[in-house]
Amino acid sequence: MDDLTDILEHLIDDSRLAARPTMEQLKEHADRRSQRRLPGRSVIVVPLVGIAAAALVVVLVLQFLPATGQHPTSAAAAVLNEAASVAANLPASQVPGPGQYLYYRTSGGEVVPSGGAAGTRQYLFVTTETTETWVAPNGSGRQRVDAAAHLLYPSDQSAWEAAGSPNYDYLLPGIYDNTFPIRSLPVGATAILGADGEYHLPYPAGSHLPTDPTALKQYLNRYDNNSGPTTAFLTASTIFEEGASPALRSALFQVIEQIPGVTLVGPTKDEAGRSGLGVALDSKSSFYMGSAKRYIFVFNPKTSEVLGIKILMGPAGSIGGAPVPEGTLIGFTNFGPTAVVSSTSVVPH
Amino acid sequence: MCAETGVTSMDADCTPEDTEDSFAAWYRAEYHSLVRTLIVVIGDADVATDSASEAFVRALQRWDRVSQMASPTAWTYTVALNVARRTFRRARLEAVVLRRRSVPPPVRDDSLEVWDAVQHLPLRQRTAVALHYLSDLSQRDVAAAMGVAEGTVAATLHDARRNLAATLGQPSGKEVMEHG
Repeated sequence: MDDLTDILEHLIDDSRLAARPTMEQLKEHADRRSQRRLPGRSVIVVPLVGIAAAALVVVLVLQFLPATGQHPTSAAAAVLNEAASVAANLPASQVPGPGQYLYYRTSGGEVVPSGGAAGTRQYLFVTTETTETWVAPNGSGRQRVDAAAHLLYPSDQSAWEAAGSPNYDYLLPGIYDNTFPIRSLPVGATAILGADGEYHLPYPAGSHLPTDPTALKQYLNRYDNNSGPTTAFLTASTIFEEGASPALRSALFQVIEQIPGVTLVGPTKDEAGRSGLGVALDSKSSFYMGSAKRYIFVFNPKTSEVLGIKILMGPAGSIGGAPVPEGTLIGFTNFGPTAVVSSTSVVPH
Repeated sequence: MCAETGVTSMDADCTPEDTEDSFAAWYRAEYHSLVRTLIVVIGDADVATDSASEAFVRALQRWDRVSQMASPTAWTYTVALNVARRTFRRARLEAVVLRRRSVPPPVRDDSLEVWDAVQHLPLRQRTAVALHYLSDLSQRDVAAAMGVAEGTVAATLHDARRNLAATLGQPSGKEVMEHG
Protein backbone atom coordinates (compact mmCIF):
# COMPACT_ATOMS: atom_id res chain seq x y z
CA MET A 1 0.00 0.00 0.00
CA ASP A 2 1.22 3.49 -0.76
CA ASP A 3 1.43 6.17 1.80
CA LEU A 4 -1.96 6.63 3.42
CA THR A 5 -2.00 10.35 2.72
CA ASP A 6 -1.49 9.72 -0.99
CA ILE A 7 -4.20 7.10 -1.02
CA LEU A 8 -6.73 9.35 0.69
CA GLU A 9 -5.86 12.35 -1.43
CA HIS A 10 -6.57 10.25 -4.51
CA LEU A 11 -9.90 9.08 -3.10
CA ILE A 12 -12.17 12.01 -3.94
CA ASP A 13 -12.78 13.09 -7.51
CA ASP A 14 -12.58 16.86 -7.22
CA SER A 15 -14.15 17.34 -10.63
CA ARG A 16 -17.40 16.02 -9.19
CA LEU A 17 -17.46 18.42 -6.28
CA ALA A 18 -19.60 21.51 -6.24
CA ALA A 19 -17.76 24.73 -6.96
CA ARG A 20 -16.33 26.57 -4.00
CA PRO A 21 -18.65 29.45 -3.02
CA THR A 22 -17.21 32.77 -4.07
CA MET A 23 -16.07 35.25 -1.48
CA GLU A 24 -19.03 37.41 -2.44
CA GLN A 25 -21.45 34.58 -1.72
CA LEU A 26 -19.76 33.88 1.57
CA LYS A 27 -19.82 37.54 2.58
CA GLU A 28 -23.46 37.92 1.62
CA HIS A 29 -24.33 34.98 3.83
CA ALA A 30 -22.20 36.30 6.67
CA ASP A 31 -23.67 39.79 6.37
CA ARG A 32 -27.17 38.43 6.72
CA ARG A 33 -26.11 36.70 9.89
CA SER A 34 -24.29 39.73 11.24
CA GLN A 35 -27.47 41.74 11.26
CA ARG A 36 -28.72 39.48 14.02
CA ARG A 37 -25.65 39.79 16.20
CA LEU A 38 -25.29 41.89 19.26
CA PRO A 39 -23.47 45.05 18.25
CA GLY A 40 -20.02 45.67 19.55
CA ARG A 41 -19.63 42.79 21.92
CA SER A 42 -16.26 41.24 22.43
CA VAL A 43 -15.49 37.56 22.52
CA ILE A 44 -12.96 35.05 23.64
CA VAL A 45 -12.54 31.52 22.42
CA VAL A 46 -13.26 28.34 24.30
CA PRO A 47 -14.02 24.78 23.28
CA LEU A 48 -17.57 23.69 23.96
CA VAL A 49 -18.91 20.25 23.25
CA GLY A 50 -22.02 18.29 23.91
CA ILE A 51 -24.49 21.08 23.52
CA ALA A 52 -27.09 19.56 21.30
CA ALA A 53 -29.17 18.02 24.02
CA ALA A 54 -29.11 21.10 26.16
CA ALA A 55 -30.29 23.17 23.24
CA LEU A 56 -33.66 21.59 23.64
CA VAL A 57 -34.12 23.62 26.76
CA VAL A 58 -33.71 26.86 25.01
CA VAL A 59 -36.33 26.03 22.47
CA LEU A 60 -38.66 26.33 25.37
CA VAL A 61 -37.35 29.70 26.40
CA LEU A 62 -37.44 31.00 22.86
CA GLN A 63 -40.98 29.86 22.58
CA PHE A 64 -41.62 31.69 25.79
CA LEU A 65 -40.63 35.05 24.45
CA PRO A 66 -43.07 36.11 21.76
CA ALA A 67 -43.92 39.78 21.50
CA THR A 68 -47.67 39.47 21.61
CA GLY A 69 -50.37 37.05 22.64
CA GLN A 70 -52.21 35.69 25.62
CA HIS A 71 -50.66 35.81 29.03
CA PRO A 72 -50.25 32.58 30.97
CA THR A 73 -53.30 31.19 32.61
CA SER A 74 -53.70 32.22 36.20
CA ALA A 75 -53.08 28.63 37.24
CA ALA A 76 -49.72 28.53 35.45
CA ALA A 77 -48.82 31.98 36.71
CA ALA A 78 -49.66 30.95 40.25
CA VAL A 79 -47.30 27.98 40.35
CA LEU A 80 -44.54 29.88 38.60
CA ASN A 81 -44.93 32.74 41.02
CA GLU A 82 -44.82 30.30 43.92
CA ALA A 83 -41.58 28.84 42.62
CA ALA A 84 -40.15 32.31 42.14
CA SER A 85 -41.00 33.24 45.70
CA VAL A 86 -39.46 30.07 47.08
CA ALA A 87 -36.26 30.62 45.10
CA ALA A 88 -36.02 34.25 46.16
CA ASN A 89 -35.98 33.21 49.80
CA LEU A 90 -33.32 30.52 49.48
CA PRO A 91 -29.76 31.17 50.63
CA ALA A 92 -27.16 31.78 47.95
CA SER A 93 -25.81 28.60 46.40
CA GLN A 94 -22.25 27.41 46.94
CA VAL A 95 -19.71 28.57 44.39
CA PRO A 96 -16.31 27.00 43.73
CA GLY A 97 -13.27 28.59 45.31
CA PRO A 98 -9.63 28.26 44.31
CA GLY A 99 -8.78 24.66 43.48
CA GLN A 100 -12.43 23.71 43.26
CA TYR A 101 -14.81 23.03 40.40
CA LEU A 102 -18.48 23.45 39.79
CA TYR A 103 -19.83 20.13 38.56
CA TYR A 104 -23.08 19.90 36.65
CA ARG A 105 -24.72 17.21 34.60
CA THR A 106 -27.49 17.12 32.05
CA SER A 107 -28.92 14.26 30.08
CA GLY A 108 -31.06 14.62 27.05
CA GLY A 109 -32.47 12.90 24.05
CA GLU A 110 -33.89 13.70 20.68
CA VAL A 111 -35.69 11.75 17.98
CA VAL A 112 -33.91 11.90 14.63
CA PRO A 113 -34.46 10.17 11.30
CA SER A 114 -32.15 7.47 10.05
CA GLY A 115 -31.61 9.08 6.69
CA GLY A 116 -31.24 6.93 3.61
CA ALA A 117 -32.01 7.31 -0.04
CA ALA A 118 -35.23 8.94 -1.10
CA GLY A 119 -38.03 6.42 -1.20
CA THR A 120 -36.44 4.06 1.28
CA ARG A 121 -37.92 3.42 4.66
CA GLN A 122 -37.06 5.91 7.35
CA TYR A 123 -36.30 4.63 10.81
CA LEU A 124 -36.50 6.91 13.79
CA PHE A 125 -33.69 6.89 16.30
CA VAL A 126 -33.41 8.35 19.74
CA THR A 127 -30.04 9.96 20.28
CA THR A 128 -29.11 10.52 23.89
CA GLU A 129 -26.34 12.52 25.45
CA THR A 130 -25.20 12.77 29.03
CA THR A 131 -22.95 15.74 29.54
CA GLU A 132 -20.84 16.23 32.63
CA THR A 133 -18.96 19.46 33.15
CA TRP A 134 -16.40 20.51 35.71
CA VAL A 135 -15.56 24.22 35.67
CA ALA A 136 -13.09 26.07 37.86
CA PRO A 137 -13.54 29.72 38.82
CA ASN A 138 -11.06 30.66 36.11
CA GLY A 139 -13.18 28.89 33.50
CA SER A 140 -10.84 25.94 32.95
CA GLY A 141 -12.11 22.43 33.37
CA ARG A 142 -13.31 19.27 31.74
CA GLN A 143 -16.36 18.16 29.80
CA ARG A 144 -17.34 14.58 29.14
CA VAL A 145 -20.13 13.69 26.73
CA ASP A 146 -21.49 10.18 26.46
CA ALA A 147 -23.64 9.93 23.35
CA ALA A 148 -25.67 6.94 22.21
CA ALA A 149 -28.41 6.11 19.75
CA HIS A 150 -31.15 3.49 19.63
CA LEU A 151 -34.31 2.86 17.65
CA LEU A 152 -37.35 4.82 18.83
CA TYR A 153 -39.70 1.91 18.21
CA PRO A 154 -38.45 -1.48 19.43
CA SER A 155 -40.75 -3.04 16.87
CA ASP A 156 -38.50 -1.63 14.15
CA GLN A 157 -35.58 -3.74 15.31
CA SER A 158 -36.30 -6.79 13.19
CA ALA A 159 -36.96 -4.71 10.07
CA TRP A 160 -33.77 -2.76 10.67
CA GLU A 161 -31.78 -5.96 10.97
CA ALA A 162 -33.47 -7.41 7.91
CA ALA A 163 -32.30 -4.35 6.00
CA GLY A 164 -28.74 -5.21 6.92
CA SER A 165 -28.55 -3.04 10.03
CA PRO A 166 -27.41 0.04 8.13
CA ASN A 167 -24.73 1.98 9.87
CA TYR A 168 -26.01 4.92 11.93
CA ASP A 169 -22.72 6.13 13.34
CA TYR A 170 -23.19 9.47 11.60
CA LEU A 171 -25.30 10.20 14.66
CA LEU A 172 -21.94 10.26 16.43
CA PRO A 173 -22.42 7.90 19.34
CA GLY A 174 -19.40 7.63 21.58
CA ILE A 175 -17.63 9.26 24.45
CA TYR A 176 -16.07 12.67 24.01
CA ASP A 177 -13.85 13.68 26.89
CA ASN A 178 -12.05 16.97 26.73
CA THR A 179 -10.32 19.44 28.98
CA PHE A 180 -10.48 23.12 28.31
CA PRO A 181 -8.16 25.93 29.31
CA ILE A 182 -8.65 29.02 31.40
CA ARG A 183 -11.36 31.16 29.95
CA SER A 184 -11.54 34.14 32.20
CA LEU A 185 -13.06 37.07 30.43
CA PRO A 186 -11.14 40.17 29.54
CA VAL A 187 -12.67 43.42 30.73
CA GLY A 188 -15.72 44.29 28.71
CA ALA A 189 -16.16 40.87 27.15
CA THR A 190 -19.71 39.63 27.19
CA ALA A 191 -19.63 36.50 25.07
CA ILE A 192 -17.37 33.64 24.05
CA LEU A 193 -16.81 32.01 20.71
CA GLY A 194 -17.31 28.29 21.03
CA ALA A 195 -15.88 25.45 19.02
CA ASP A 196 -19.31 25.07 17.47
CA GLY A 197 -18.85 28.45 15.83
CA GLU A 198 -21.51 30.13 17.89
CA TYR A 199 -21.41 32.72 20.63
CA HIS A 200 -22.16 31.70 24.16
CA LEU A 201 -22.37 33.27 27.52
CA PRO A 202 -19.16 33.10 29.50
CA TYR A 203 -18.79 31.00 32.56
CA PRO A 204 -20.19 31.46 35.06
CA ALA A 205 -23.27 32.56 33.20
CA GLY A 206 -25.18 33.23 36.36
CA SER A 207 -22.85 35.95 37.55
CA HIS A 208 -23.27 37.86 34.30
CA LEU A 209 -27.04 37.76 34.10
CA PRO A 210 -29.39 40.22 35.72
CA THR A 211 -31.58 38.87 38.48
CA ASP A 212 -34.20 41.52 37.97
CA PRO A 213 -36.96 39.83 35.92
CA THR A 214 -37.48 42.78 33.60
CA ALA A 215 -33.79 43.17 32.93
CA LEU A 216 -33.39 39.42 32.44
CA LYS A 217 -36.23 39.33 29.95
CA GLN A 218 -34.68 42.20 28.04
CA TYR A 219 -31.33 40.46 28.10
CA LEU A 220 -32.72 37.21 26.72
CA ASN A 221 -34.79 39.02 24.13
CA ARG A 222 -31.71 40.90 23.04
CA TYR A 223 -29.97 37.59 22.36
CA ASP A 224 -33.01 36.26 20.58
CA ASN A 225 -33.50 39.28 18.41
CA ASN A 226 -29.95 40.06 17.61
CA SER A 227 -27.93 36.92 17.85
CA GLY A 228 -29.97 34.19 16.24
CA PRO A 229 -31.74 31.26 17.76
CA THR A 230 -28.75 29.05 18.41
CA THR A 231 -27.05 31.59 20.60
CA ALA A 232 -30.27 32.11 22.50
CA PHE A 233 -30.66 28.36 22.84
CA LEU A 234 -27.27 28.08 24.42
CA THR A 235 -27.71 31.13 26.56
CA ALA A 236 -30.72 29.73 28.34
CA SER A 237 -29.44 26.17 28.49
CA THR A 238 -26.31 27.42 30.19
CA ILE A 239 -28.39 29.14 32.81
CA PHE A 240 -30.17 25.93 33.71
CA GLU A 241 -27.24 23.59 33.25
CA GLU A 242 -25.09 25.33 35.77
CA GLY A 243 -27.74 25.16 38.41
CA ALA A 244 -28.66 28.84 38.32
CA SER A 245 -28.45 30.67 41.61
CA PRO A 246 -31.69 31.00 43.57
CA ALA A 247 -31.92 34.69 42.69
CA LEU A 248 -31.49 33.96 39.01
CA ARG A 249 -33.96 31.08 39.16
CA SER A 250 -36.48 33.38 40.77
CA ALA A 251 -36.07 35.91 38.00
CA LEU A 252 -36.32 33.20 35.37
CA PHE A 253 -39.56 31.88 36.80
CA GLN A 254 -40.94 35.40 36.69
CA VAL A 255 -39.85 35.82 33.11
CA ILE A 256 -41.65 32.63 32.18
CA GLU A 257 -44.66 33.79 34.16
CA GLN A 258 -44.95 36.80 31.85
CA ILE A 259 -44.77 34.81 28.66
CA PRO A 260 -47.97 34.58 26.68
CA GLY A 261 -49.50 31.19 25.99
CA VAL A 262 -48.14 29.24 28.93
CA THR A 263 -50.62 26.82 30.47
CA LEU A 264 -50.53 24.61 33.51
CA VAL A 265 -50.11 20.91 32.80
CA GLY A 266 -50.30 19.90 36.44
CA PRO A 267 -48.47 17.07 38.15
CA THR A 268 -46.06 15.30 35.83
CA LYS A 269 -42.64 13.67 35.83
CA ASP A 270 -39.47 14.44 33.98
CA GLU A 271 -37.79 11.72 31.93
CA ALA A 272 -35.71 10.74 34.93
CA GLY A 273 -38.94 9.90 36.74
CA ARG A 274 -38.85 12.81 39.16
CA SER A 275 -42.21 14.30 40.11
CA GLY A 276 -43.01 17.94 39.69
CA LEU A 277 -45.43 20.32 38.10
CA GLY A 278 -45.43 21.11 34.42
CA VAL A 279 -46.23 24.22 32.48
CA ALA A 280 -46.52 23.94 28.73
CA LEU A 281 -46.38 25.97 25.61
CA ASP A 282 -47.62 24.77 22.25
CA SER A 283 -45.80 25.78 19.11
CA LYS A 284 -47.30 25.85 15.66
CA SER A 285 -45.85 24.12 12.66
CA SER A 286 -43.33 26.23 10.79
CA PHE A 287 -40.45 25.73 8.40
CA TYR A 288 -37.93 26.72 10.99
CA MET A 289 -39.34 24.87 13.98
CA GLY A 290 -40.72 21.93 12.01
CA SER A 291 -43.88 20.20 13.14
CA ALA A 292 -46.07 21.59 15.88
CA LYS A 293 -44.79 20.62 19.30
CA ARG A 294 -45.66 20.88 22.95
CA TYR A 295 -42.88 21.98 25.29
CA ILE A 296 -43.32 21.04 28.91
CA PHE A 297 -41.19 22.61 31.58
CA VAL A 298 -41.06 20.47 34.73
CA PHE A 299 -40.12 21.94 38.07
CA ASN A 300 -40.83 21.63 41.75
CA PRO A 301 -42.63 24.78 42.95
CA LYS A 302 -42.06 23.83 46.59
CA THR A 303 -38.27 23.87 46.20
CA SER A 304 -37.90 25.87 42.95
CA GLU A 305 -35.76 23.02 41.59
CA VAL A 306 -35.82 22.82 37.81
CA LEU A 307 -36.13 19.17 36.80
CA GLY A 308 -36.32 18.99 33.06
CA ILE A 309 -37.89 19.67 29.74
CA LYS A 310 -40.04 17.37 27.65
CA ILE A 311 -40.97 17.94 24.03
CA LEU A 312 -43.99 16.15 22.64
CA MET A 313 -45.01 15.92 19.01
CA GLY A 314 -48.00 18.00 18.05
CA PRO A 315 -50.80 17.06 15.67
CA ALA A 316 -49.94 15.72 12.20
CA GLY A 317 -46.22 15.74 12.94
CA SER A 318 -43.35 14.03 11.20
CA ILE A 319 -39.63 13.72 11.51
CA GLY A 320 -37.48 13.10 8.47
CA GLY A 321 -40.62 12.33 6.51
CA ALA A 322 -41.70 9.62 8.93
CA PRO A 323 -45.04 10.32 10.63
CA VAL A 324 -44.92 10.54 14.40
CA PRO A 325 -48.09 10.20 16.46
CA GLU A 326 -49.25 13.22 18.42
CA GLY A 327 -48.04 13.12 21.99
CA THR A 328 -44.90 11.09 21.23
CA LEU A 329 -41.93 12.20 23.30
CA ILE A 330 -39.45 13.53 20.75
CA GLY A 331 -36.99 15.30 22.97
CA PHE A 332 -36.07 15.86 26.57
CA THR A 333 -33.47 17.28 28.87
CA ASN A 334 -33.05 16.32 32.48
CA PHE A 335 -31.12 18.59 34.76
CA GLY A 336 -28.82 16.60 36.96
CA PRO A 337 -27.06 17.46 40.15
CA THR A 338 -24.73 20.37 40.60
CA ALA A 339 -22.05 20.38 43.27
CA VAL A 340 -18.74 21.93 44.17
CA VAL A 341 -15.99 19.31 43.93
CA SER A 342 -12.26 19.22 44.49
CA SER A 343 -11.12 17.85 41.13
CA THR A 344 -12.28 17.06 37.61
CA SER A 345 -12.32 13.37 38.45
CA VAL A 346 -14.86 13.66 41.25
CA VAL A 347 -18.41 12.72 40.32
CA PRO A 348 -20.93 13.58 43.04
CA HIS A 349 -23.83 11.23 43.63
CA MET B 1 -3.46 38.28 12.74
CA CYS B 2 -3.52 39.53 9.19
CA ALA B 3 -1.82 36.70 7.39
CA GLU B 4 -0.75 38.89 4.49
CA THR B 5 0.78 41.63 6.59
CA GLY B 6 1.66 39.96 9.82
CA VAL B 7 -0.31 42.58 11.71
CA THR B 8 -2.67 41.56 14.47
CA SER B 9 -6.23 42.26 13.45
CA MET B 10 -6.85 44.18 16.66
CA ASP B 11 -4.08 46.56 15.63
CA ALA B 12 -5.03 49.80 14.00
CA ASP B 13 -2.60 49.04 11.20
CA CYS B 14 -4.67 46.04 10.13
CA THR B 15 -7.30 47.39 7.78
CA PRO B 16 -10.56 45.66 6.85
CA GLU B 17 -9.00 44.98 3.49
CA ASP B 18 -6.09 43.22 5.18
CA THR B 19 -8.51 41.13 7.17
CA GLU B 20 -10.51 40.21 4.09
CA ASP B 21 -7.39 39.37 2.10
CA SER B 22 -6.15 37.26 4.96
CA PHE B 23 -9.40 35.34 5.14
CA ALA B 24 -9.72 34.93 1.38
CA ALA B 25 -6.25 33.45 1.06
CA TRP B 26 -6.86 31.03 3.90
CA TYR B 27 -10.32 30.15 2.60
CA ARG B 28 -9.04 29.37 -0.88
CA ALA B 29 -6.29 27.21 0.56
CA GLU B 30 -8.47 25.26 2.96
CA TYR B 31 -11.90 24.91 1.37
CA HIS B 32 -11.47 21.82 -0.77
CA SER B 33 -9.43 20.06 1.85
CA LEU B 34 -12.23 20.54 4.35
CA VAL B 35 -14.87 19.35 1.90
CA ARG B 36 -12.90 16.24 0.97
CA THR B 37 -12.27 15.43 4.59
CA LEU B 38 -15.92 15.85 5.52
CA ILE B 39 -17.00 13.64 2.65
CA VAL B 40 -14.75 10.89 3.95
CA VAL B 41 -16.02 11.35 7.50
CA ILE B 42 -19.70 11.81 6.71
CA GLY B 43 -20.02 9.84 3.50
CA ASP B 44 -22.32 12.43 1.97
CA ALA B 45 -21.09 15.11 -0.41
CA ASP B 46 -24.16 17.31 -0.04
CA VAL B 47 -24.02 17.53 3.73
CA ALA B 48 -20.23 17.85 3.62
CA THR B 49 -20.42 20.77 1.23
CA ASP B 50 -23.16 22.51 3.17
CA SER B 51 -21.36 22.00 6.45
CA ALA B 52 -18.07 23.27 5.08
CA SER B 53 -19.70 26.39 3.69
CA GLU B 54 -21.45 27.04 6.97
CA ALA B 55 -18.20 26.64 8.89
CA PHE B 56 -16.40 29.11 6.63
CA VAL B 57 -19.22 31.63 6.95
CA ARG B 58 -18.88 31.47 10.70
CA ALA B 59 -15.12 31.79 10.41
CA LEU B 60 -15.52 34.85 8.18
CA GLN B 61 -17.90 36.47 10.64
CA ARG B 62 -15.43 35.96 13.44
CA TRP B 63 -12.19 36.16 11.52
CA ASP B 64 -10.65 38.76 13.79
CA ARG B 65 -10.73 36.16 16.54
CA VAL B 66 -10.46 32.96 14.57
CA SER B 67 -7.37 34.16 12.73
CA GLN B 68 -5.58 34.57 16.03
CA MET B 69 -6.18 31.01 17.11
CA ALA B 70 -3.33 28.55 17.19
CA SER B 71 -5.08 26.62 14.44
CA PRO B 72 -7.95 28.34 12.65
CA THR B 73 -8.19 25.28 10.45
CA ALA B 74 -8.72 22.93 13.38
CA TRP B 75 -11.42 25.22 14.75
CA THR B 76 -13.15 25.27 11.39
CA TYR B 77 -13.09 21.48 11.22
CA THR B 78 -14.70 21.30 14.63
CA VAL B 79 -17.38 23.73 13.56
CA ALA B 80 -18.02 21.82 10.34
CA LEU B 81 -18.29 18.49 12.15
CA ASN B 82 -20.72 20.04 14.62
CA VAL B 83 -22.75 21.53 11.81
CA ALA B 84 -22.89 18.17 10.04
CA ARG B 85 -23.90 16.46 13.21
CA ARG B 86 -26.69 18.90 13.82
CA THR B 87 -27.76 18.76 10.21
CA PHE B 88 -28.52 15.10 10.61
CA ARG B 89 -30.39 15.85 13.75
CA ARG B 90 -32.58 18.61 12.51
CA ALA B 91 -35.91 17.56 11.22
CA ARG B 92 -36.28 20.97 9.63
CA LEU B 93 -33.53 19.99 7.25
CA GLU B 94 -35.23 16.79 6.36
CA ALA B 95 -34.85 17.54 2.68
CA VAL B 96 -31.12 17.30 3.10
CA VAL B 97 -31.41 14.17 5.17
CA LEU B 98 -33.62 12.52 2.63
CA ARG B 99 -31.08 13.26 -0.06
CA ARG B 100 -28.52 11.42 1.95
CA ARG B 101 -26.94 8.50 0.09
CA SER B 102 -29.19 9.15 -2.88
CA VAL B 103 -26.25 10.62 -4.77
CA PRO B 104 -23.18 8.45 -5.24
CA PRO B 105 -20.15 9.78 -3.38
CA PRO B 106 -17.64 11.59 -5.61
CA VAL B 107 -15.10 8.79 -5.40
CA ARG B 108 -12.66 7.92 -8.17
CA ASP B 109 -13.48 4.65 -9.87
CA ASP B 110 -10.12 3.13 -8.98
CA SER B 111 -10.56 3.99 -5.31
CA LEU B 112 -13.85 2.33 -4.49
CA GLU B 113 -12.16 -0.42 -2.51
CA VAL B 114 -10.37 2.16 -0.39
CA TRP B 115 -13.59 4.13 0.01
CA ASP B 116 -15.40 1.06 1.28
CA ALA B 117 -12.58 0.23 3.65
CA VAL B 118 -12.54 3.75 5.07
CA GLN B 119 -16.32 3.89 5.37
CA HIS B 120 -16.30 0.66 7.34
CA LEU B 121 -13.96 2.11 9.93
CA PRO B 122 -15.66 3.09 13.16
CA LEU B 123 -16.62 6.74 13.06
CA ARG B 124 -13.94 7.89 15.47
CA GLN B 125 -11.21 6.12 13.51
CA ARG B 126 -12.56 7.45 10.22
CA THR B 127 -12.65 10.98 11.58
CA ALA B 128 -9.13 10.78 12.96
CA VAL B 129 -7.75 9.31 9.75
CA ALA B 130 -9.41 11.94 7.58
CA LEU B 131 -8.33 14.85 9.75
CA HIS B 132 -4.76 13.63 10.16
CA TYR B 133 -3.90 12.12 6.78
CA LEU B 134 -6.19 14.00 4.44
CA SER B 135 -6.30 17.40 6.12
CA ASP B 136 -2.78 17.13 7.45
CA LEU B 137 -3.77 18.28 10.91
CA SER B 138 -1.32 17.47 13.67
CA GLN B 139 -2.41 14.94 16.27
CA ARG B 140 -2.80 17.82 18.68
CA ASP B 141 -5.13 19.65 16.30
CA VAL B 142 -7.03 16.45 15.57
CA ALA B 143 -7.51 16.01 19.30
CA ALA B 144 -8.82 19.56 19.57
CA ALA B 145 -11.15 19.13 16.61
CA MET B 146 -12.55 15.84 17.91
CA GLY B 147 -12.72 16.88 21.53
CA VAL B 148 -10.56 14.02 22.75
CA ALA B 149 -7.16 13.67 24.38
CA GLU B 150 -4.07 13.66 22.16
CA GLY B 151 -3.18 10.20 23.37
CA THR B 152 -6.58 9.00 22.27
CA VAL B 153 -5.88 10.28 18.77
CA ALA B 154 -2.61 8.38 18.58
CA ALA B 155 -4.27 5.18 19.70
CA THR B 156 -7.20 5.73 17.36
CA LEU B 157 -4.93 6.31 14.39
CA HIS B 158 -3.00 3.19 15.27
CA ASP B 159 -6.18 1.13 15.33
CA ALA B 160 -7.39 2.69 12.11
CA ARG B 161 -4.14 1.94 10.28
CA ARG B 162 -4.25 -1.62 11.51
CA ASN B 163 -7.85 -2.03 10.34
CA LEU B 164 -7.13 -0.51 6.96
CA ALA B 165 -4.09 -2.68 6.50
CA ALA B 166 -6.13 -5.76 7.35
CA THR B 167 -8.88 -4.77 4.94
CA LEU B 168 -6.76 -3.59 2.06
CA GLY B 169 -4.21 -6.30 2.36
CA GLN B 170 -0.56 -6.91 3.10
CA PRO B 171 2.28 -6.33 2.53
CA SER B 172 1.12 -2.76 2.58
CA GLY B 173 0.32 -2.97 6.25
CA LYS B 174 3.85 -2.45 7.47
CA GLU B 175 4.24 0.80 5.65
CA VAL B 176 0.85 1.97 6.71
CA MET B 177 1.54 1.05 10.30
CA GLU B 178 4.69 3.12 10.29
CA HIS B 179 3.11 6.23 8.89
CA GLY B 180 2.49 9.22 11.12
